[in-house]
Amino acid sequence: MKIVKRNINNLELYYMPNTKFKTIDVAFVFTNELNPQEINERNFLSEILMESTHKYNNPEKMSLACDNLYGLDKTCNFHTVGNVSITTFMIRTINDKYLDESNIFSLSLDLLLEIIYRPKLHKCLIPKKSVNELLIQTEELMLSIKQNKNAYTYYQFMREYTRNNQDRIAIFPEMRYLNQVSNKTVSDCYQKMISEDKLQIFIAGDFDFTLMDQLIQEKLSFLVSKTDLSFDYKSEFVSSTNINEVIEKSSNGQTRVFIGYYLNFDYNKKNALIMSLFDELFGGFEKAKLFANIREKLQLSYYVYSRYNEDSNLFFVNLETNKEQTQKAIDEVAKQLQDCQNGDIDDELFNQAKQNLIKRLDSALDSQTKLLLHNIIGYLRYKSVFDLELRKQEIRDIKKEEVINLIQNIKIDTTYVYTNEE
Amino acid sequence: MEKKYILKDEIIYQEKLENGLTVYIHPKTKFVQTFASLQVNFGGRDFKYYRNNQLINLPQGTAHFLEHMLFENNGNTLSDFFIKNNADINAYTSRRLTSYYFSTQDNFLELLNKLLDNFVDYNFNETSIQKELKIISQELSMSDDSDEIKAYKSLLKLMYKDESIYEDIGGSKKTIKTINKDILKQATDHFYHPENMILLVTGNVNPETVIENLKLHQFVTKTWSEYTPVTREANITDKGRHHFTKINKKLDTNIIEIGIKIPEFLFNRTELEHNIVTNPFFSMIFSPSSKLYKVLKKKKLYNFSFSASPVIEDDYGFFNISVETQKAKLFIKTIKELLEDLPNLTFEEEIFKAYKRAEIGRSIKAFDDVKQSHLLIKKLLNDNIDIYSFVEKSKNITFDDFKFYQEIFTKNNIYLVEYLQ
Repeated sequence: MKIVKRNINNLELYYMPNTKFKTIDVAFVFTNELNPQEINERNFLSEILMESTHKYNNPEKMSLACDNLYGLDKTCNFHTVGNVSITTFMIRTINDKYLDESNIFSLSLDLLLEIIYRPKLHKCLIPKKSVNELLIQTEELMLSIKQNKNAYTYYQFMREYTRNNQDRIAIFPEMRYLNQVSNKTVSDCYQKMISEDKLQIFIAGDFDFTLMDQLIQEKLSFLVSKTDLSFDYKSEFVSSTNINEVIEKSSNGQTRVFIGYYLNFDYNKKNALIMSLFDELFGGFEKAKLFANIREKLQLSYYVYSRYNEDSNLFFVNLETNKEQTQKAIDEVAKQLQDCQNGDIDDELFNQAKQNLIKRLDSALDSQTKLLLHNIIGYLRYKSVFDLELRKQEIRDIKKEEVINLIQNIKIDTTYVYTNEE
Repeated sequence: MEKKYILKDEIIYQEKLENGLTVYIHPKTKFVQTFASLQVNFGGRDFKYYRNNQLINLPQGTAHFLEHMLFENNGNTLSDFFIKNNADINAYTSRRLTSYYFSTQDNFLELLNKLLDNFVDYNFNETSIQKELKIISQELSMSDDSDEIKAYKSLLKLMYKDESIYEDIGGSKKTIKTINKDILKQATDHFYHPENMILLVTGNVNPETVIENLKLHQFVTKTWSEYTPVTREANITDKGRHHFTKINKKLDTNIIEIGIKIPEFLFNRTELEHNIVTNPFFSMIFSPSSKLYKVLKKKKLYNFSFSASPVIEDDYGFFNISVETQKAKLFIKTIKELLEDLPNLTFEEEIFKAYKRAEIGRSIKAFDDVKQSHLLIKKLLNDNIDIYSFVEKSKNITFDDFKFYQEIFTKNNIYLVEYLQ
C-alpha cells in the first residue's frame, strides 16, 4: 500500500489508498515530548473525550450517534515511544460505497472532530465529575490488578524493571503524581495537546483524492497545528551495576518469573531490527530456544516466552513454574542466553526466525488498521514511510554474526519472582 | 458443491464428502492469508456419554489431553512441518469440541494434507504421554491462584448440578494421571470420525481445487467403520440454593458473579434462536442508553471490571454479570432491584433502530477481515446457527423477540456468588 503526502492548509496529511477494504480508517496523531507528570492526565483524556462531547453531552447520546453511523468504531489511546508521548484518535467507518447513504464518512469525520475539538466543558474546564469518576475507577482498577495475578506480576515487574527510568517510560497509573490530578490539570493537558502537540493525520481506504482534499479543506480549515517538534527521538535506559533481585512471597499458586534485561547498545533502526530477530529465535515461537528447552525438553513450564518492546528498547522473559523448579528454570533461561551469546544458534532456527518476521509483516497486508499503525510508528521513530518490501529485505540481509555481536551487550537488569511462603 | 450467500458478495461453498466430513469453504481471494479449522465434536464435557445405549465414562480431561497428543501422533511433531512452511498451527479444547487450526500465506493444500494425515490413524507412544502429562499439569496449575475463575466456577456450581458444566475442561491433576494409551484409543474410536467433524476454510483459495484435493486424501478415501453417534445428558437443575458467599481476608477487592438462568422450558424452545437474540437483548439492557447503565453509573457502581454477557451452550444458557468492587453490598442491592424490574422495561424505538444500523455495519466489518470472518463463521457453526440466514435474522430482530427473556428476570432464576474480603 503506497502512502501519499498531501499539503492542505499546512496540515501534515497522508493518504493510504487501497481498494481492498470496505472501511475507511482515519487517525489523528498528536505527539510531544514525554512529560512524566502528564501520564495520568493524558490517559484520563483518552477516556473522557471519547465518552461525551459538547453536542453529545452524555454517553447515551454518544453511543446513539456511533450506532447511527453504522456502528462507527472509535478509539483513543495514549502511549509512549521512547521519549515521545503519542495520543492517537482513530475511527473506522464503513465506506459509503457499500451503503445506501452517501454522507456516512463525512458525518463520521464530523464526529471525530467533535470528539477532539469540542469536548464537553463546564465553566471552560473538563468537568470535575468526569475526572473524579476516573480517579475512583483508577483506585478500583489498581485493586483489580492486584487481584489478577498475571496483571499484577507484570505491573510489579515493570515497576522494578523501569525503576531508574520512570521519567522516560510511562506506566499508567503513575502513582507519584496521581494525587495531583484535577479537572484543572486535565484541562491544561488538553489545551497543550491541541495547541502544542504536533499533529499528523492519516486516512486509509478507497476514496477519491480530490473529493477528500475538498472535504478536508472544508472541515479542517479552523485547524492550525504544529508540524514540527523541537526535540529528537531518543530511547535510553538506565541500569544499575548490581542485578535488581526481587522476590515477593504472597502467591498461593504457581511461581511467576520475569527477567528484565539491560540492552547496552545504541538504539537505532538496524539494532532494533536485529533485536527483533533475536527475540523471535530466543523466545518467540515453538522452536525458539526457550520453548524448545524449558517447555518441551525439560517440561518446567507450560508457557515461556521473550518480548522485545521496540518502543522503549526493553527486553524480558516471562515464565510460570512450580516453586521447587524456579531456580532450575531461571538457570536454564540464563544458559540459553549464554549459548546464544557464544554463537550457538543453528542455521535452521536463524532462518526460520527471519521467515516468521517476514510472514508477520506480510500478514499486515490483510489489515488496513495495522498498515496504518505501521506508518504512524514509522514516521515517529524514523521519520519515514513504512516500506514493507524494504523492511523484508533488511530482515533477509541480517547476518548471524550481527545478532551474536549485538546480544553480547545484553545483561540481566532485574529478576522478579512471585512465589509462595512455604 | 453447494454455493450459498451470506452477504451479496460473501459466498460459502459447502460439501459433504464421502467419508462424512462436512466442508465449508469461504473464499476471500483479495487477502494474503488463509485460515483452516478442523473441529471434532469432542470436548471437556465428554467424560460421560451414551453409545449404543451404554453409559461410558472417560477420565475428566481426556479431550484436552488428546488435543495435546495429536501434535505427537505417530511419532511425528505436527508443528515442525507447519513451522518449516511458515505457517502457524494450534488447537484448543472447549466444553463442546476440540478445534485444530492453522493459518498460512502459501502451500495451503500441502499443509491441509499434512493436518489430515494426522487424523487417518492414531498411535501415541508412552514417552510422549508422560511428557504431555507434565506439561498439562503445569497448565492446570496456572489458574490455582485466580479467585475470579473460582468465583465463576462457584456460580456454575450453584446453578447446575451437572459436573460437566462446572468442572475444568482439562480435568484435574488426579484424573489426567489415569489417562493412558487405551483411554486415548477409546476416545479416538468414539469421536475422531469424519462424520463427527467439520472443516472450515477461509481465505485465498479456490473451492473446487480444495475439494478435489480432499477427495484424493487418505483421510477421505480410507474405509471408515460406520459412525456411532453418542448422546449426552446434562442435569441442568440447581441444588436448591441461589446464594453463595465466601469470605477471604486475602482478597484485594470483592468479586461478584450473578447468573440469570434461562429456564429449561424456554431454553428448549430452539426456534427462539437464543444464540442470535440473547446478544442484542443483553447489549440493549446494558447499553449507555439503558436504565441499568445510568443507575449504576450514577451510583458509581460501574467500573472497568464490569462485564455482562449471555452464555449459550447447546444444553444450557444463562446471562452472566460480573464485577470487582469495593461497594459489594450496594452493588448487589442495586443490581437485584434493577434486574427484578426488567420485566417492566420498555425499549425505545429510536435506540433499537440505531442498534440495528450498527449491526449492519458490524456485519460488513466482520467480513472485511479474513481472520475475523473465519472466527465468525466458526462461532456460528459451533453454535449451530444457520450461517446463511444469520445476517438477515440479526437485522430482523424485534422487541417481541426480547419479551421471552425479559420475563425470566425473577428471583427464581437469579443466582448470586459473592467473594468478600
